[in-house]
Amino acid sequence: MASLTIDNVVKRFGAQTIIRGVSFDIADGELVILVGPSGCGKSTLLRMIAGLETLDGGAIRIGERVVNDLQPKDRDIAMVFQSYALYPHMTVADNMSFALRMAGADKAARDAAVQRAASILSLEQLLDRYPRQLSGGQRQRVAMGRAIVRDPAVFLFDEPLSNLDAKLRVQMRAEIKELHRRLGSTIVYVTHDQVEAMTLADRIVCLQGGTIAQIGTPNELYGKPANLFVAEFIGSPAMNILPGRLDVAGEAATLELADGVRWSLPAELSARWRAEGSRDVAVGIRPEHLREAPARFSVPVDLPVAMLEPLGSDTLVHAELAGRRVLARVPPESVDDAARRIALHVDLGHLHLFDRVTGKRLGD
Amino acid sequence: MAADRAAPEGADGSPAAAAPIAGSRGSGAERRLALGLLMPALAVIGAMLAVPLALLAFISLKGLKLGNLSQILRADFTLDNYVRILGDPGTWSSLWISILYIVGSSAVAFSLGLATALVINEKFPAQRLFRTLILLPWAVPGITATIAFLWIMQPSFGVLNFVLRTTGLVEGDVNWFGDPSLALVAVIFPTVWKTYPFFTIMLLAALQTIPRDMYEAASIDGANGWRAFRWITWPSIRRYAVVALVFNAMYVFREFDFIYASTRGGPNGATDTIAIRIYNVAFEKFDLAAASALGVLTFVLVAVSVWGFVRWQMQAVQR
Repeated sequence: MASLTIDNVVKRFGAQTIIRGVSFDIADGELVILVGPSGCGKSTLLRMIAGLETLDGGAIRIGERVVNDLQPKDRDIAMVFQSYALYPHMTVADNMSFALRMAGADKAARDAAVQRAASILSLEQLLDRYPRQLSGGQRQRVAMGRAIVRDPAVFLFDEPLSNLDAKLRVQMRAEIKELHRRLGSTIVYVTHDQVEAMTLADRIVCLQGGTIAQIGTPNELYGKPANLFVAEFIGSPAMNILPGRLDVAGEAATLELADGVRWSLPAELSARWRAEGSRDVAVGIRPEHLREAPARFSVPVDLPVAMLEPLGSDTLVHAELAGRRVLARVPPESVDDAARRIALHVDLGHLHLFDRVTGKRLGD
Repeated sequence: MAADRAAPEGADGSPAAAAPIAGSRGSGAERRLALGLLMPALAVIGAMLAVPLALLAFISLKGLKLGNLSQILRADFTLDNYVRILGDPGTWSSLWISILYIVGSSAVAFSLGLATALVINEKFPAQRLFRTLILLPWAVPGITATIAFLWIMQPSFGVLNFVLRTTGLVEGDVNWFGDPSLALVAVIFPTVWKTYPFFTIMLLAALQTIPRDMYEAASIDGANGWRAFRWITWPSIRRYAVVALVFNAMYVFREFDFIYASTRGGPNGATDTIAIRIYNVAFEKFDLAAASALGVLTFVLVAVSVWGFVRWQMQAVQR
C-alpha cells in the first residue's frame, strides 16, 4: 500500500486541454472516487496514473516515487477495467496469475497467490473456467481477483460496475466496500454515478472540464457543495435551483424569488449571508428540505402539484414554486394521490445560496 | 458472493436470431414462388459445377483415353484409369512437389502477411491508402505477375540477379527457372507475391477484433512487445490464421498460371505439381481418362482434408 500524489497534472490531446493542472493527495489506504460528467477528464486522469497516457505537465507520485516516465508494469498498480479486459483464451486461474507469470514468479508462488485471492472473492469453484463461461458479476470478480493477486500499492478502478444490471451493481458496490475495508488498500475509483461515489468513497474528487470542482468527504460535497456544479451533480434527485435576489438591510436579510415570493430570513440565518451584501443569487433547496412538517426555521408554502412519483419509501412530488418546477421528497402517507395542491415547508436552515454569475457558494 | 447468476452473459439469443427465415413457413404458392425465383441461380450452378463434375467422374471410369462424347458413352466402364494413375510413380512425385510448393509458399506468404498485417494495424498517416495498395498483387492476374517475375529473375539481366551479384551474394548468373534444383523456389516467388495480401487482409481483420484494453491490461501485467504478441495477439488470431492457411492451401494446390507460364512443370519435372500434371496428362499425352481420374482423386483428397479440418475446428470451438 502507498499514498498517491497528483501534482499540477496537465494533459492535452492535440489543441484540446483535457486536464488543466489538477492537484490532490490520496492517503495510504484511502478510497478516493473521481466523479464527474462525461468528458470531465476523470478516466484520462486514472489512465495517467496507470501509465496508459503520458503527462503533458506536472507529476504523479506513488509513495515517494515519481512515476511519470515509468512503464505501467513498473508502477506497482493494478487496474480493473470497465470491460474487465479478461484474457478470453486463458482460464480464470491463468488470468489471475498472468502478471506474476510475466514477473517470473514460480508456479507454487503463483498458485498460492491465486488461491488467496480466490478465497477472498469466493472464486475457488471457477478457477478452471474460461471468461466466456462466467456471468457478468463473476467476470467482474475475476477482474478484481486479477488485481488482488498482484498485491499492488494502488488499485485503479475504471467504472467497474457500469456493465452490470442495477441489482448486481448494488451487490458488487457493497462487495468492493467490504473488500476495501478488509484489504485496507489505496484505491482510486472512477465513476459517473454519483450514488456509487457517495456510498463508496472516503473522499470524492468532483471534476468539471478538467479541473477540480470540489474535493471532500461525501457528506461535505452533499451538505456544503462549493459551487452550483457540485450542488446539481451530487444528490439524486438533484437539488432544486431557483433564481432569486438576496436583499441585506442592516441586520435583516430577505430572499426574493420570482412570482412575488419573499422569505425573510431569521437573524440567526441572515448572519450567514449578511457579509455577502445584496446581490443576485441562485437558491438551492434539496428535495428533502421541502418538508411536509415544519422545521426550526421554515416558511410554509402551498404549491400546485404537477405529478407524483411514488418510490415506496418516499414519494417525489413534482410541484411549482416561484415559477419553476421543483421536486419535494415526502413520506408517502403525507400526500394524496389525487391531490392538486400540497402544503409544504421550506427548510430555510438548509438553504444553499450561490453567486448567480460565478456559481460559487455564498456564506459558510 | 457465490450466489451469482450462473448463465453466461450474452448467451441469450436475440429475437432476430431466433426468428424463422421468411417464407419457410409459407403456403404452397409461396414455396413455389420461392423455388421459381431460385431456379435461375440453381440452374447456373448446376450447369457450371455439378454437370462438369459428374462428367469428370464419368469419363474417369471409361476405358477410352480420348474421344468425342458418343464414343465415350459407348466405351466400357473400368477402373483401369485409376490403377494407371495410382501405379505411376510420377503421380506420387507430383503430390510431393505439390506439398513442397504449398508448404514453402504458404510459410513465406503467411509470415509476410502477418508482418504486414501487424504493421498496418498500427496507426500511421495514409493508413487507408496502404491498406488498399497492399491488396494490389491479389488483383493482378497470375499470368501478368509471372511474366513480371520472369523478367525480374531473368538470369543475365534480371534485377534480382543484378542485386545478388552487386552485393556479392552470388558470383555468376543464377538460372532460377532453368535449374531443376531452383525451379520450385523460383515459382514460389510469384506465388508468394500474389497470395500474401490474402493473409494480410484475413489477419488484419482478426487483429482488429482484439480490444485495445486487452493490450492495456497486458501492459499493466508486464507483457509488452513480443510477450504481448505471444500471450495476447497470437492466441486471439490463431483460429483465423489456421482458416486462412487452409484456404490458401486449397488455392495454391490448384495453382496453374505461375508454373505453366514459367516452367510448364519442368525442368526435368522439378515443378510438376498435381495441377500441372493433370493438364499435361490431358493435353500433352492426350489421356483424358487418366487426367479425369487424377482430377477426381484430387477432388476427393481436398474434400476429405477440408471435411477433417472443419470437424477439427468445430471440436476446437467446443473446447
